[in-house]
Amino acid sequence: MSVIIRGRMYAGGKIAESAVRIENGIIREVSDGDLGPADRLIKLEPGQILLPAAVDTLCAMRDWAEAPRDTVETVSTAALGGGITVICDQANTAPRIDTAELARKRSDFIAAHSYVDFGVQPHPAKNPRDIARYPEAGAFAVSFWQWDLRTWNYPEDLDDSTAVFRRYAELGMKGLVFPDEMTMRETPLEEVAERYALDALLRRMAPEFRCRVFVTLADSVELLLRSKEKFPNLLIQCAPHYLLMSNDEARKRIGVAATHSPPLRSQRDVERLQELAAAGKIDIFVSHHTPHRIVDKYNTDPIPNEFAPKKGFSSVDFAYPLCLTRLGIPTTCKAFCENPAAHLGLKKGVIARGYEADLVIVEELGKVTLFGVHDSGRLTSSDGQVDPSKFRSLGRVTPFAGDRLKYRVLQTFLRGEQVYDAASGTFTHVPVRQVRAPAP
Amino acid sequence: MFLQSSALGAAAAIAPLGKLFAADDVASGAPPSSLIIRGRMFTGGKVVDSGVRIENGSIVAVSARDLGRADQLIKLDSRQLLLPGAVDTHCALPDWSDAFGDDVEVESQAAVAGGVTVVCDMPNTTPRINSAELVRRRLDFVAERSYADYGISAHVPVDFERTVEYPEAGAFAVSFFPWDLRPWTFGGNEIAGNIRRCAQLGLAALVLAEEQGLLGTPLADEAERYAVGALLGGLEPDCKLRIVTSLPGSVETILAARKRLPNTLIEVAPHALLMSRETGYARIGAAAAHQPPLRSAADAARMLEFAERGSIDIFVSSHAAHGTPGKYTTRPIAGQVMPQAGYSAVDFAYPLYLSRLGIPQTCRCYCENPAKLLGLRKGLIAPGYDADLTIMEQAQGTIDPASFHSRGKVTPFVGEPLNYRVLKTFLRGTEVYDAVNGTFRRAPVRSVRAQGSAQA
Repeated sequence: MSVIIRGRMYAGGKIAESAVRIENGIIREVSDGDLGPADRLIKLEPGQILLPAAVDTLCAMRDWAEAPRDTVETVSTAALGGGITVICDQANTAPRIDTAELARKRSDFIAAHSYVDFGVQPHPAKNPRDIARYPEAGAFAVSFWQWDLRTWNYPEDLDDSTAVFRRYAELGMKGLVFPDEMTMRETPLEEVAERYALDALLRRMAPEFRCRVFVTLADSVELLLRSKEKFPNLLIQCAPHYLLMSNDEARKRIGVAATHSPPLRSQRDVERLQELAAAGKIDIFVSHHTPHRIVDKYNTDPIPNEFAPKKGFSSVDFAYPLCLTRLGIPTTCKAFCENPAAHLGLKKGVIARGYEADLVIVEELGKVTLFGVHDSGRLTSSDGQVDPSKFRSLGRVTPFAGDRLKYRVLQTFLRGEQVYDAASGTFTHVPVRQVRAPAP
Repeated sequence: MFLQSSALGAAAAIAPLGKLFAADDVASGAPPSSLIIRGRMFTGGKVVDSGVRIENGSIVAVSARDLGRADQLIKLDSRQLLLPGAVDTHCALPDWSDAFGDDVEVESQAAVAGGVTVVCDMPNTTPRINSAELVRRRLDFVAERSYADYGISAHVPVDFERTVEYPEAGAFAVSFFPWDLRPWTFGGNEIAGNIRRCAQLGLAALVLAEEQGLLGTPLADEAERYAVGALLGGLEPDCKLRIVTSLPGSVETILAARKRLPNTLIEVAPHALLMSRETGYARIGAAAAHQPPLRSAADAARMLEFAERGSIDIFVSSHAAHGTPGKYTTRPIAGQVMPQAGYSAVDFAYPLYLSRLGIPQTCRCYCENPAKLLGLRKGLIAPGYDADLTIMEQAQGTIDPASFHSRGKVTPFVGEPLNYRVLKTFLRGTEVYDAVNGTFRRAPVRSVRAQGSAQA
């Protein structure tokens, strides 16, 4: 099966007219010249662009006891509709993934239901004997949530953090860390919780551990950049709601549902983060898709031991187009496609020879010149904005609701197979693959 | 819980100690002499003129009438008073590698000199006691050196399931330090289950309830409030524990939950009741640093009211002897309170409580209640109880660190007046301390053990 796609595309670091030849799911050639005959030829129309599909290293697929919030099927089809072909699931399912057995169960479950390639990244193993069994059970990484990290002032003589990081690194596993002092949540120290935790993390990190660090403040990014010499394997990861949405604006839009952990930041912080992102200082963008039911997002009844309202936003449907809109194609394709794919050891994320043909055709919607009318003269539709009523995700709450998008996804390809088509609203299930830890 | 004799118990249990007591008259089988003490004493809830007859280390009769003949008779003068020996459930006996710590021998001498006949060690020695093997080592070590009965409390082990090994190893309790708890925001965690597990194993649980992550931050003073609230929220009625409390809010919270959590006891240290931050820092400066911190005078006054009303269950010395240099160091040590937290207290805690809170409240909270908690027949002057007794003299004096037997000399109570001083202390009828001659005698000591119900 061969496919040729011809038109404007983002390849080799720029947008240009070109063509890509795909055989058996792999990009065989990228060239403006003759690429020979193919089983199928797709010619992009003016206003359409071919981009690499996004690789989302943090996206909750829920399901199981949380199926009312989202399911593997709804999230993975939402991902395809949003131009994403790889999802790394969050470990905080119900039950949480913290044993080799659960990692295997989750892997099998997602493999059976997902429309996209996927990765499983459990919590640290509850039982130390399970650590060595994680890779074989399907875990490519381990996720250190706030409560999986030692408190910043944990007694040094008892602190096994470095040894634990080292142990996972030895197994060829990667890491994901949420530095945020959990104790300081919902206290007057909430704003500095990330700083306390990050300082402690950098005291304890093992240099060989290839680890994504989820941060939400420009100060944190700058601290991590200063630490890169000592810790070249740390990657800086951020989500759209910290890059593009201030707490004030979010509260204005969705009220109490804007509550998040860590909290959304000030306009000044958001601007500083965007500057850093524009300068290419943020390695990885993620959707941080964390869907909840609307009733839970607006619940203000105190539930013992629970946050009220539930924290987290739905975002996988639009995160990639939103980042493209606000941060531009080069920055977004670097941080949402190329870098995460390289981190996961996948030949994906760029349109280049030898890479998997995980691709997305987007339509450039142009600027809105008059209310409801694009500069192209076409009427805008809700396709040109973040519209929760159109989400495939069951989670409908996001502070980005109503934001204008400059791009909409028309078609998505996974290893050369068209798996999403916006015109007909169809999804096609093709065999999916699991991200694995390389043999140490 | 039951006492297991180090010297007289089952052969297996005492094997490592047998040689130690080989030359001891008790180990050789000779029963202690009978003893009668006559004079004013606190018995049956009041101070009365009476007599107590002791045989083989136990009180066999308490009566103002004729108690028959005895090998020895002690008649108290009008200023002297017989009280039960105190049972201190929270008293560190450092030793091992703690450079400026006191050794077990000196520290336990300080205890008996302070009228305390049972000391429950803290596990934060160096190395920390967090395995069955270390419990055994510690138990043997303390057994060979202590002048008082003793209990070994262990840290939460790395793998919590291994607490199952603690009772047999000889630990009577598990101490949950602040870093052993979960952040207050982390609901549905395993801590309550772990505390319940301790009860099932017959192990007492002590919780130092403070939010570890808030210590050393501007919210340090709030750390206890956050932690106590979160801890109680997760507990079930069958959880048995003591919570170290230093704030009136904590006491109120625990009392409010008492109906639901009848086995949650309130433990306080003398400085939480009787010392304020203002006074402490004025007296000893940086050395007043503590964890939990000294509180305001208003908080301390309210804590004292709770104690006077009988709302506090257990008094402890919270004795933590540090060398004076360690108390005044400003060298930052990561993960440590700096300067070192903890005051020397066991030398004077009992007389201090008596002086400020009176005899009934002190004897209830520092003798009877803790003994009951540990399952000991101690803490009361009553027939059938161990003859752990102390003769106090009503005399005006002051707290003078220079006179401490403990090597730790730093306390914010320095210079405080006392109305009592210890003259003699008896452990199971044996005079182990005599103030007049300044002598100590080492009698066979026993260890507090986990409650047998676990094995049943």
